[in-house]
Amino acid sequence: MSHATRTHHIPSQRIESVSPGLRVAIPALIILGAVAFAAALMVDAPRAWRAYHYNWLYFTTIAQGGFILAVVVSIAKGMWSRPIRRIALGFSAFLPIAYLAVLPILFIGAKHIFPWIDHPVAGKDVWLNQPFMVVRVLLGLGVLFGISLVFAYTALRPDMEAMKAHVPPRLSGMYDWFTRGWRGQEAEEFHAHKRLAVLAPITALLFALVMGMLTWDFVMSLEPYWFSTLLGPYVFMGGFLGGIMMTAIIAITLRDRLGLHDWIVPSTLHDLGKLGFGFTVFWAYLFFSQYIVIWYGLLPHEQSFVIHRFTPPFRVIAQLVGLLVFVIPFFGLMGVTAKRTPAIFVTFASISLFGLWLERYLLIYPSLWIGAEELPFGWQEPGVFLLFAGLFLAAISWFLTRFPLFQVWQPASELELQGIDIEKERYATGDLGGVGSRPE
Amino acid sequence: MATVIRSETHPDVSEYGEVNRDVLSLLGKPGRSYYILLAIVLVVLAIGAFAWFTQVVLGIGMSGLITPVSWGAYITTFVFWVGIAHSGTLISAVLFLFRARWRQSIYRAAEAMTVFAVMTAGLFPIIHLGRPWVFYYLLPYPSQRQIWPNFRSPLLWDVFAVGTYLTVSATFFLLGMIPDIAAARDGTTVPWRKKLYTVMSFGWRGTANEWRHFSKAYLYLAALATPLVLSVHSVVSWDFAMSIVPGWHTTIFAPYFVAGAIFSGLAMVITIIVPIRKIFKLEAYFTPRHFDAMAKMVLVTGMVVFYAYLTEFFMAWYSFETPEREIFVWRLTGDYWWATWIMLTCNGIIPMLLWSRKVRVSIPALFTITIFVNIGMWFERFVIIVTSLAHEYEPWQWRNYQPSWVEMAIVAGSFAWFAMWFLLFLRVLPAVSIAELKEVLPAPLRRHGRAGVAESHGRIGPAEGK
Repeated sequence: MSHATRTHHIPSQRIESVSPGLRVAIPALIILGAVAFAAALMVDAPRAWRAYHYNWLYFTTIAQGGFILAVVVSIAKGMWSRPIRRIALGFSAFLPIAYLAVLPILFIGAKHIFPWIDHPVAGKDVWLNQPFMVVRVLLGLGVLFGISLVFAYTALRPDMEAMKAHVPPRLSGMYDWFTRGWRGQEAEEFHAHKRLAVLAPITALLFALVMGMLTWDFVMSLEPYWFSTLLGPYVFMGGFLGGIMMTAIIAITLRDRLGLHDWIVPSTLHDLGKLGFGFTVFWAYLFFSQYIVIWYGLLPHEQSFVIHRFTPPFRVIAQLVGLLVFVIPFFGLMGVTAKRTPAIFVTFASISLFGLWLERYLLIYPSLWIGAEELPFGWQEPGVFLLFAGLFLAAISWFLTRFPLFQVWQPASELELQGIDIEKERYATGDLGGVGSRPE
Repeated sequence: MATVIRSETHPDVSEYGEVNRDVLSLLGKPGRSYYILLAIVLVVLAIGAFAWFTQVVLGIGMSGLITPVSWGAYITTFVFWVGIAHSGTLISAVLFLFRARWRQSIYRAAEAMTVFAVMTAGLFPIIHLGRPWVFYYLLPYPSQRQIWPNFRSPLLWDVFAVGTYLTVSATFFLLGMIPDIAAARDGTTVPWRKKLYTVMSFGWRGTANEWRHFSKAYLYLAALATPLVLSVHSVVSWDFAMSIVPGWHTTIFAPYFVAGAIFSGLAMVITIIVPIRKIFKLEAYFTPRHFDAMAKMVLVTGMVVFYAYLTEFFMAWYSFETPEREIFVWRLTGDYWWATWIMLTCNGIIPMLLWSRKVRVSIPALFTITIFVNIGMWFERFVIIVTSLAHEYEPWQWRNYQPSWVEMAIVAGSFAWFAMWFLLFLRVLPAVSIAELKEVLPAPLRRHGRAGVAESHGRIGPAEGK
């Protein structure tokens, strides 16, 4: 009963403006980060580019991975995800930035990052050469980001018309663009549902293909003689894990700031926490599957990659990664209370994200500092991190202050689309825990 | 005005009573076709048993195994059946945790299939032995028989993995059935059934307290069983990946085998449910919606498998390691090209048809596709095992393998063995979960006046009351 009333009062709200704190913090982060990057370039250009490279990889895999969360729940018809789906969709705003930010890597920094540019590997240069890499990375990311944006547009559009009246004049142009050729609410929802059903699986598929390929270029090729079939899935599933954790942090922050306690309820967090926990385990599983094969095989050309990471100076980072990405979140997020208590969930999600940041570092740096005596970790790495963190926050804030925070339109049920008449009402109540699911 | 409320998943079942009647009717007198089927199965099983007998008496030479291909059709079939066993736990545990609303009618059959598939798979390490009567050496029991188990051997891990899996899936199967068996117990008058069901229902009376404990136990068991979905076939894959044989030693093997296992397992569920649905007239319980959902999962896992194939081929090329490259080229173009192409076609290309919704809800089409998938998955293991062994590092060692009639008969016999258990299961235990099905049916409504006119109330509002 209460469910039914709730469903009809989903707040079609939009955040009016960025909080004053963020309004200062975002430009500050970007400027600080840019200054740090510029300074790093002057001190040690290769180092600066490598820091840039891995921070780009971190934020891009997380943004795209978090976006895929919105895609996956759309495929799986995960009704629980309604309150957080828009947040995950919001990661799409970072994708154009990521696309622009990859250009310096490909065109300017490449020779500092990819060892095979200066020392071509005989035979392998068919694949490992700069022009081909530029083409395939730009093409691959272009297609993946492009379809992601089309997906985001399609998912947003049915909500835009009703909101039009409530937006300030500066946004009305954008809302008009979003709702051009409007065919009426019912028809729009129907078409959006149909289109998303086609777009979602293709987006998920491209995610695996493009991110897998990107990993070969951006991670694996840094040690040109090394190869591992599982590295691609390992990297993009790490991004997916990061995306889940990031979604949780944003959801909980908004919940507290905006008083969304009626919409982002403990059971929403519980479900998100289960995903976070599950993919934490899955991350460890992928790591282990890869590690044990290499450890057992004792093949020199395979083991070198692991040895470069598991011996000093990088060993401490490797230990931290295991602890922060797996051990701590695993035990931390195992219980029900931890998942349902925002403060605890945020803590473990942040730990996991920090661990993933170190993990991306560990994927890139040891390949480029083989035989280093000291750990190449100084002010440059966090410095460039600030730049990307600022851009990331800017993108998310941009999205959340422009689009409705919750998905209001109802995806039609499959039976309805087939023309079978079931009670619409009843289906709608299922959204926030209803038909077939147990009351918590 | 009264509203007729129908279940979203089972629109044609409207009352709890129907479920009991329809499901328990499976346990009644079967038709002639059932006995004919059972007879065929038993004949094939007898042929398989005879073939094994021949091998035991005359020696392992009766199989086609020959150095360097010491693993052939037996291990292929072993891996195949362990793979088939995956869908049960996936559907009963993982989908339960995900609250997927379409698992209720299929999970019992899938769980039964899991248990029987592991029972089938378990035969093969023994059949594969030259002296099967000393099979107990397989058991990792330390410090006995002057043999300390080699804990670094993946074959040993396998014993643990498959053993755990059998234990947990059997527990899950039997535990989940308790309320249904109690219903069967209360409904039967046949003495042996009464006795069996009384024992298996553990005195279940359906009190609130019993249900509370039952659901807790089920939930915890589901959470414990979920990692097993990943672990079992990962360990099986490491039987291969731990060695440095080209084509075996690759990091993607574990997730790739798991995806392949779920792929083949779900395909097998569809293959089996289609005839059951027809023979026992259970159309109201296995609706196109169920097939659609399963077909989507088959498609997803099939794509993962195909992705793994392509990654392997790419990485072999990219590695510039001669043996690595050689084996993948040889698979495609060498003596076993037909096996490789059967694998690629059946697992990679044919499942693409499932992108179409029309195909996913067409039961004949699904039935055909899933049979292809099962053929393809058998050949996948054949390709992995045989081509890699036949074509290892040193060319002077290369030698091809051809399964003998004994092996083929035993492989056919394993299908019969599996089918026999399944057919017996259908007659003895409730093949569709009565209790869980009721969870997705509308709750019984209080009746006013004439039966059949129900007034909706509670959380379910009438359609027009917006």
